[in-house]
Amino acid sequence: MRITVRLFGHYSDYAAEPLEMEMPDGATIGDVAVTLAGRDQRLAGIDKSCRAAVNEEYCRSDEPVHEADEVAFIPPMSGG
Amino acid sequence: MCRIVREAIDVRALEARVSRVANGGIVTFVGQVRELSRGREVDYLEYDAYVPMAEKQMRQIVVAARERWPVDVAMEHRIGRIELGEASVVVCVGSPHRGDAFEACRWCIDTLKETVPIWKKEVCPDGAFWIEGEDAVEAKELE
Repeated sequence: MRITVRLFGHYSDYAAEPLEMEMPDGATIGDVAVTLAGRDQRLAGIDKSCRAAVNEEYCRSDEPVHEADEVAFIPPMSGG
Repeated sequence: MCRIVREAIDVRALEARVSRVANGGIVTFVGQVRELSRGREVDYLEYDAYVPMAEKQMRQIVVAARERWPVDVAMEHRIGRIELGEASVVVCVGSPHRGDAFEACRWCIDTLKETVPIWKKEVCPDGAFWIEGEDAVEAKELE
């Protein structure tokens, strides 16, 4: 399946544009993080340092992703 | 009532959105860019957001506030480059009575800081830093 991944905070310095990724069926947010780390070692453990969101809603990192999902990794925030 | 904007926030226009005749008071919180951050001198801030999710989270804050208090709420957060003393966020709460307005306004800005995906980059004389919770992470390059 094909998904889109978005990175924020200092991670956006490594990938400012949304990333298109191919994932096997049944893959979870955690699997997406492992695949990201394979592409760029600086992204290792991103699912531990960030909250995950799928299609603009927070979710747990053991949740599965689906075709066309937009997965975002949300570092600790600093709005306000 | 909830927007991420790139231009200066018009505080009076936002207050007008919660100014119904049923409301006896309006409480406005204005967050603005401070010259010192944890002892570090700041030149200006660059805010970034996951815009659609940020606006969605802000709308959820308004819904939750209205379940707890009899209030009208409007809020805007600015992103992009913001200079010292300029507003980065404004929360306006109107209510029949001031107690509910003060409480709800405090709760809305506190919750925004916890749940709305927005990040600031502090641009300082000695470099630029992403602020991620308690951490300041050196940014790759100055824009």
